[in-house]
Amino acid sequence: MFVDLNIPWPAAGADSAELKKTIGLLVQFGYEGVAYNNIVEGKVAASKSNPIKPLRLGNGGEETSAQGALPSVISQSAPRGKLFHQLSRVTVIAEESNQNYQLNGNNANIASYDLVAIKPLNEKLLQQACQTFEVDIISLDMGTRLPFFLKPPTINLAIQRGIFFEISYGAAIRDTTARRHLITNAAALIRVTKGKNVIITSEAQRAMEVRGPYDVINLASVFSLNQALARNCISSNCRSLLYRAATRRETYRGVMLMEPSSVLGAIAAWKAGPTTTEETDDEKDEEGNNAMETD
Amino acid sequence: MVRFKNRYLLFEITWEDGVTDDSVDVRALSNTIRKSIEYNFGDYGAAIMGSGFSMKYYNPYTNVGIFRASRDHFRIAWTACTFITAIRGRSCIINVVHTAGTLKSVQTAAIERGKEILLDLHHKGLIKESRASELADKAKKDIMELDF
Repeated sequence: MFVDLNIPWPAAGADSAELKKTIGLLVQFGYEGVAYNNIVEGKVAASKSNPIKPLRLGNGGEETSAQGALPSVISQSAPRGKLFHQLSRVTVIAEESNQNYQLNGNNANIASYDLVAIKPLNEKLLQQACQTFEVDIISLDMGTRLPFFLKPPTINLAIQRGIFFEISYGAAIRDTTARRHLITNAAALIRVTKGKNVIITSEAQRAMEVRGPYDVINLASVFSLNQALARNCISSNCRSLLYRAATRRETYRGVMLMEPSSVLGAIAAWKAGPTTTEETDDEKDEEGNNAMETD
Repeated sequence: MVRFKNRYLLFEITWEDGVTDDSVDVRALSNTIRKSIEYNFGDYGAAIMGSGFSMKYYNPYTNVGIFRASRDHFRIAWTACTFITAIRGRSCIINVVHTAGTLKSVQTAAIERGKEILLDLHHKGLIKESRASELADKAKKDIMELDF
């Protein structure tokens, strides 16, 4: 199950044809999910809404080629009859350490994205991100020389907190000087993390910059990441990341999740206990909690 | 006896312009990949691949190709392919689909992949069934005629 968790969302007003081509290629290469990345500089105002909307993929993401090609937004063949997941993500480019980026559950705008990433531009911010910010991904600009060193204590703290680091290979495909920086930075990151809590994504600005998953796994061998670990970086690590992001978003301090009992289907409805005639607040129980019944 | 081990890589090319024609052949591909190896891996890369690297087959109708490299260093050639952005001026993506240690194994994979692609083209209405099977037979013949 390969996913690509960084496809830049086109700026407002720009044509989405390139994006559709990109998704078409990703489906063709065998990816099963994508996260559209809205890149913002500085603080995300709580009033602005999440501009990312899933594309209507028509029949392309669900039909097998044996059924023939029906008209669809994606014109390439989609040999796998699986669902293609589309998620939303925001990357906050953080430059000033004094600014309050409001990266917590209170900012409704941030909470509307599936994934939250931060791109720190200096060492102080990297430290803050690793220690205190509530983010899912720390994204370092791989295409230029990092202005700071990656120190094991800081990085290990982030890993303990469950934050993931991102390596984006798009810059290496686009530009040949960026290729060197990517290899330097990625190798440094792998040296410290040993592939743990690392994800590899494309950050492809044009459709022709994505690469197939096995090609990406092979590319990682250049950063001295072995094949098994590299495969994790585009599959199981991404899955862990998505679960962690969901936990951050939906639970209270990672402990409790509230859902109305209407979420239970007919078969599982017994878990909510016998329904009382009086509507009380206790009606909205956690699933399986029968302690509040009144007989 | 120390055998010289190889890796055969089966790849597919996705063109940006979607045009199918004769402009790219085995030689053009070979030159492009060698240049990419030299550019990205320098004199070391070019030298260690040496005579071990060779383009074996390329079908311009299905965009499927096979190349061979020595087992110890085939990843260099593979990475060089990943970095290629254009061949003879046409923007493309090279996607490696299958790796194998024997020619027979990659031949089987190549024939299957070629058939799948031609069937898919037929379903999209781009080619007639007779043409598809004609191309598939020709591809099969060419692939089975490959030898070390």
